[in-house]
Amino acid sequence: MSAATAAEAGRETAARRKLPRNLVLGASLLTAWVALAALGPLLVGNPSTMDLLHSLRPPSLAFPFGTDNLGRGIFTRVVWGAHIDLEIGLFTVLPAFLIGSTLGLLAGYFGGLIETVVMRLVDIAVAFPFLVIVIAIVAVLGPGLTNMYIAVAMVGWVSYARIIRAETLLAKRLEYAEAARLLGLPDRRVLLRHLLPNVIPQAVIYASSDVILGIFLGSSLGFLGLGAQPPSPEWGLIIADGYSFVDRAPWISAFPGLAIVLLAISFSLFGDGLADFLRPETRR
Amino acid sequence: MNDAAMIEASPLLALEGVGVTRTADGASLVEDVAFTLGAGESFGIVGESGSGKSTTVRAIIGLLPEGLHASGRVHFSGENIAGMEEARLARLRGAGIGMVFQDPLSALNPVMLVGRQIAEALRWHGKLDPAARRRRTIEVMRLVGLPEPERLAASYPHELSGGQRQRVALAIALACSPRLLLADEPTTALDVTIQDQILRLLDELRRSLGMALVLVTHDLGVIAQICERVAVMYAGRIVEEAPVARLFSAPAHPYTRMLLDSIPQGPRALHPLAPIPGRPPDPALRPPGCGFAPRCPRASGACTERSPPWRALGTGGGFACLHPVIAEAVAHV
Amino acid sequence: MTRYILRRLLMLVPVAIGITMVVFLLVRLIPGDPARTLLGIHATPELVAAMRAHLGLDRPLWAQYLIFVRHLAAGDFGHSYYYGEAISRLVLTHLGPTLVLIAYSVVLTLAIALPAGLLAAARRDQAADHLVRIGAVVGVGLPSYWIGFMLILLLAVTIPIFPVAGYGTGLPSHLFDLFLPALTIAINLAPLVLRALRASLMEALASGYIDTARAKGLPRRVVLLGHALPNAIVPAVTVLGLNIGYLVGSTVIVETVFAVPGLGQLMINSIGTRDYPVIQAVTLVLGVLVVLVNLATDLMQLLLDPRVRREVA
Repeated sequence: MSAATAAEAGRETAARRKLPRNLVLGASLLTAWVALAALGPLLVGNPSTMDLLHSLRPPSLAFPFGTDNLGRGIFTRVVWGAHIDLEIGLFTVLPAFLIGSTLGLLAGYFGGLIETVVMRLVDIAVAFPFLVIVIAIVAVLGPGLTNMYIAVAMVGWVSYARIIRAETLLAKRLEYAEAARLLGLPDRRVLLRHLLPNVIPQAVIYASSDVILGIFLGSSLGFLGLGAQPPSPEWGLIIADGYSFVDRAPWISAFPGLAIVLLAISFSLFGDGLADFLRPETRR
Repeated sequence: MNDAAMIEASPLLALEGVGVTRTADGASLVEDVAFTLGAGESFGIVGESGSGKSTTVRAIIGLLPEGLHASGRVHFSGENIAGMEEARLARLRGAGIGMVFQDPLSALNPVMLVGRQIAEALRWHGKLDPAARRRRTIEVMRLVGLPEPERLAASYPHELSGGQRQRVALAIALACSPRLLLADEPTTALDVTIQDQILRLLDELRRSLGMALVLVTHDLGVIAQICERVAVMYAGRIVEEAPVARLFSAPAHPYTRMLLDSIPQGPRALHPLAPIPGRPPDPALRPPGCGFAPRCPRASGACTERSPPWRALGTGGGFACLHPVIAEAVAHV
Repeated sequence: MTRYILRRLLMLVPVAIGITMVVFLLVRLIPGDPARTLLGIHATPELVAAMRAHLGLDRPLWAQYLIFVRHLAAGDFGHSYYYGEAISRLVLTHLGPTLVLIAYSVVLTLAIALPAGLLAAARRDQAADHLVRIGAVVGVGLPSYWIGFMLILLLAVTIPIFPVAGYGTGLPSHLFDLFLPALTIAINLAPLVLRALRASLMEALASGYIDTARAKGLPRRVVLLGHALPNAIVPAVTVLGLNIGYLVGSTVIVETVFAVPGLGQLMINSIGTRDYPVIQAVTLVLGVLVVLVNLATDLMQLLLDPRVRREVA
């Protein structure tokens, strides 16, 4: 059975199937994260308010995660950071997803020159270590979140292009796609109405795990001083700030790190569950 | 029988009440298997796939797949080896009891030179020095009829033919001159002509080395060719045991009878069994009473109530059936 | 076999062209005159004019690329105005620590993944297996800059065994100082290798040759180490090879965290000083490094598996 027909069969029974436990748990955790990112900043006050009288305070009732050298509450900053880092996850993945899926679909469907060009670009992009090439591009464009999004989009699309092209090549050979073409439907209609719905689940599954890689990348660049800029409460940036105080105030870096780990676990539960749900034949 | 007599008559191998259960659901794969085997004797176990014959021989040397649990007693040279701790059992494997398996393609380690795989058995058992191990490796390769043993010893398994690989597997099993060889469908995966060669080789080696042989097969033709006595297994139990001649001339159990009838051209034909109506029951869903009753033309109500008792026959062996094809069996007695 | 290696080397040519093209275009992304960009803000008009001639900026783009490649082939990476040094020398002095760090990380990755994978496979579905698998899930989910922080907190500050930063002099000192940086990378990488190893060990342990090995009377540990492991190691090496790009990327972060004077640190520092020719050179060298390590992994498979050797012969 080809992957595409399997995906179809999977979708048919999806409604009747019980939702994977991972998916339910992951989705609940992610909902909580989104709620925290959206509503948290309204509740916890300003993340940049300095209070030099209360600098480097350990965790207490007043400052649940302690304070940094400028007396800013780490808890407040971590809550605001959730907003920024989730946004990083979205904006690192979305452009890559859209560009890559489009190019992959076109390359797989039309073949020929489009395919050759796209696949040669893919070959070149994967030769570089991802982080290094993104850093190099940010270096020439200049530090900052927007330039980082541009840099990631320039390289990150290749994974999606590869996945979607392979899926499209498979789906194209199936009867319903052949039939749609023989009926003389315009390419645009065949692509959007018949192929896209069948090939896109694989890219969605990949994206669900790619989000956390994007957040890792974004916070790594923040940590290196190339992503979000001070005084932004981006988690990687807070952790970089805390390095100078590792001996006196380890809570500064410890709590935003824990936040990233929890977010990563939420996404990986969600991603595994989603994969189980969309392609049940691979369920262990 | 008193103790002295028992020691005197002590067989090489004796199974008593051997059972194998699946830990996951408690299903019983093998039940109450018993047989004895003298030194140098050849014993066949025949049955359809799923009858528990392979599981039984694996249980003898503790090589059950994960998730299976054995019970009962296995005496080897008078010592109970069932449930023996792994390290002691390992010393016995290869040295006292060798084993060859069904699929020669997967039975050899693909990334290790053939010669080393044979010498390895010697290394862990014998006190031979490396040079003597090399000599013995070549010697045993010659013994199993491998041409140019020096060259083949330096090959990888994928460079050998199927028949050659099974000969290598045999060389591994025989390297330490075990007194008992367990062979689990050793020819099933081979071409018909190669099958015959390997069977002849097994028979020759058993006679010349004075080694006992337990041969598991689904093929009565193979049994007829090289075994002296045979046990027929069905649904995890031995339903009949007999000297080969008696089994073919006067089977007592209806299942044995059907097995024989399913061979078109007499016992020497190397044909696989023609299907018998119905299928052996799943171990988890085995009905009470005789396992064969659902497929048996002679079954009565009593057959489904309890397992039929074992009835010994004067000629050796016996059967477990309430309605045996007895006229012939008794006439033979 | 020789033919396979030659063919594999030939396949590097388009990749090499791709890498040099990207690195060449990188500096052209910056608005303005590339000559001025490369020379920095203090360049005199005479210097800029000389640089324009050197780069062939009056020629079409493809000719400029050819000039760029010719310079590279001659080992001419340009000149760093910040360090006042030939970049080829700068790269060479920073290459050592990065190579040591990469090799050390691979060694520690294997030192964690091999025993843990063997333990998990040998004690399948028992407590040890579950523990290893949970550890693996957590390990990949930790960002490297945070692992670095926690290791410094635990093993350099709370229990002061290892230095917070540095590289030392002489190999023993390098290995001591680089222990935490290499461990940081290994904690991220080992789970991936471990998972591949556990899966391939399970498969190996269910194979017929394991029955044969046990029937020979080999002790359990010899069956596992002598028969299952040699068959299971190739997929684990493949996974390691696939993640070499990730490993090299991690060195950039880890070198920054632990102040290791390697290529990553050179790159990050040069971003601060807008030393573009250095950024260009480091990007190129790290890209080439990944390609070479991948080549090495492919050849390693030939060494480890006679079946692959025959396939390519």
